[in-house]
Amino acid sequence: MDYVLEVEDVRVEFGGIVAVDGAGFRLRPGQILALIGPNGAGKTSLLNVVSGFYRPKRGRVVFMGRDITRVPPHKRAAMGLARTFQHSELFKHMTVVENIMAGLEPWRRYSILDAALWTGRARDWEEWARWKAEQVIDLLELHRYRDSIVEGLPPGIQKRVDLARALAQDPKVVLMDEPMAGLSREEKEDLARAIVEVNETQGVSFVLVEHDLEVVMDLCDWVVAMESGRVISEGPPEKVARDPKVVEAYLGG
Amino acid sequence: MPAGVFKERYSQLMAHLRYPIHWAGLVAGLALLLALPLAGSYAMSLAIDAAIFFVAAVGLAVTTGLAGQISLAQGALLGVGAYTVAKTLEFLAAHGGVPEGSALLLIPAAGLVAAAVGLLVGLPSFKLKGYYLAMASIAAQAVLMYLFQRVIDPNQGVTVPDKAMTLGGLYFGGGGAALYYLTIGVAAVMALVAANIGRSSIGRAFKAVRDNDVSASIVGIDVAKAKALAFAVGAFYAGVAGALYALYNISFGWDAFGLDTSIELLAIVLVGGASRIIWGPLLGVLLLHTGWSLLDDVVSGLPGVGLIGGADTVKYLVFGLLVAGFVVGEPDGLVGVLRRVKEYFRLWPFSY
Repeated sequence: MDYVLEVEDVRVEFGGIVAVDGAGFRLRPGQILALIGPNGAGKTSLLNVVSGFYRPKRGRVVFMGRDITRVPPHKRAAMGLARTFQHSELFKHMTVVENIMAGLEPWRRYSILDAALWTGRARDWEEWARWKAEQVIDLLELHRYRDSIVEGLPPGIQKRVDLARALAQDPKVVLMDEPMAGLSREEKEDLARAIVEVNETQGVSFVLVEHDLEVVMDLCDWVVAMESGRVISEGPPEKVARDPKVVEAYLGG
Repeated sequence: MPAGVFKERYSQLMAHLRYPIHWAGLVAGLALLLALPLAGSYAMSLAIDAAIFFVAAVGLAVTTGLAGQISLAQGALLGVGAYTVAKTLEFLAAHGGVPEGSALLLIPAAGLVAAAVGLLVGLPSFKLKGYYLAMASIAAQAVLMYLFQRVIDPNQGVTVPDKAMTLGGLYFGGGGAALYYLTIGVAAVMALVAANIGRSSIGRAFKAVRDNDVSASIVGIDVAKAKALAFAVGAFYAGVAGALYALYNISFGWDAFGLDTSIELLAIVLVGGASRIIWGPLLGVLLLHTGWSLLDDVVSGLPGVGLIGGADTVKYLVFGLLVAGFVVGEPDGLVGVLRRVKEYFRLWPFSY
């Protein structure tokens, strides 16, 4: 398989407004790809098509060789396509560990009767799920916050919990919408380190929508630049950064 | 010497009884419940009545507290359970006779029937949220009430035959000790089941849907299925409570299943503490239901109460104020208040 994720010729309209106009990208296994572009370029809309929130007017999304354009969002997670949000969309009255474990619900292997009677089946699965959650807690160094209610944790920690929830699902691809937005320099470095580590040790691919060009340059192997719903340039970071069309879109737009 | 809590397995962290004080509480509670019939039949009927409302309230706490789906139809679902028992027995009596003890077998059946109706009541939740969902559930409550009044029980009164409530020489009707132990036993099992669902992945899915249904679907939770299940579980509890209600009252009509009962149950859950599905309903029932029924005579005797419509008016005034006060001031309800008191004494006298 050459590509884990292929997004082809996607068009998204809201009423009469065209948000994405024939854009697409292809992601190789183990790649970290950045979607960049000025505000309103259609990056988040394109990401929402990939995660299934928007149904495109035209075009298709192929994940691991399978057309998933019409697969409902909740089924995509179980296939290995995880997502994090710009403003962390965590379950804010639940603890960190519960948030991570909630992401394992698609893999639950016991019925509500097992749950009600707390049978061996339920107990064994719950132990497995807790063990699974502890793995990502280790990886992202969230030990201190395990049993804290998410609401009230610092933004950097919340972003890490969001990533942990996605990673606990053993995804092939993680979609991240502006992971660095609103983080301090130190928090950015922590998060970038975590992304690189997961990418290198587990071969997880990433699609990042990102404004912080420094992060994009350091982290990504491939950059797709968008403007007005179209892809205007793509390639390795250094090349895209020098592309006059990209420079103009950012400065002249 | 170990100074702290050291668990060695994840299952130990998930256990309901994790600390010695939990075991002590359980033993004391059981002893109290077993000995309560010694306090006389009035205490027993109060306890049976409280246990029935507790079961219905725990169900509502799953639907509303855990899964965040406001329902004002729990009273009517109680009626679905009660009528399932009475009407099935009526049918059996007309077709060959009522087997001994059949009312007891009908308790789980009443739960299942109510759960099926609860699925229908929950259908609007796929599209509606918050206040709009509350309105839709009031509509469901009204429709069910209409069916009770016009179709199921137009003569306002059904009776559970004595034979159906007799098993092995024991009579499980009215306010006797047999029904007391049965009701307490059922309530205890139902509470344990709710707590088990609460700590399972299904319970986490409920809470995830409550907190943020968009990201619940993104992490792979089937939101529509979770909502439907939350309504069905809550309604199952109402059905079981309704069946016990039928045994306890022997003869009853639909007036007990109106919107005022639904409101009372929601008040019980919110004032007790919606996020704690056992302790919240327990405190709520003891304070609002049992507590109020003890106060009822006192309130009726107060000067001027007759002029504003009797004790019921005062009751709903007080309930309304309590609910409003708790929702604004202490969303965690009485459980939240007690937790803060506990935290205070844990650190006392160095409360910093």
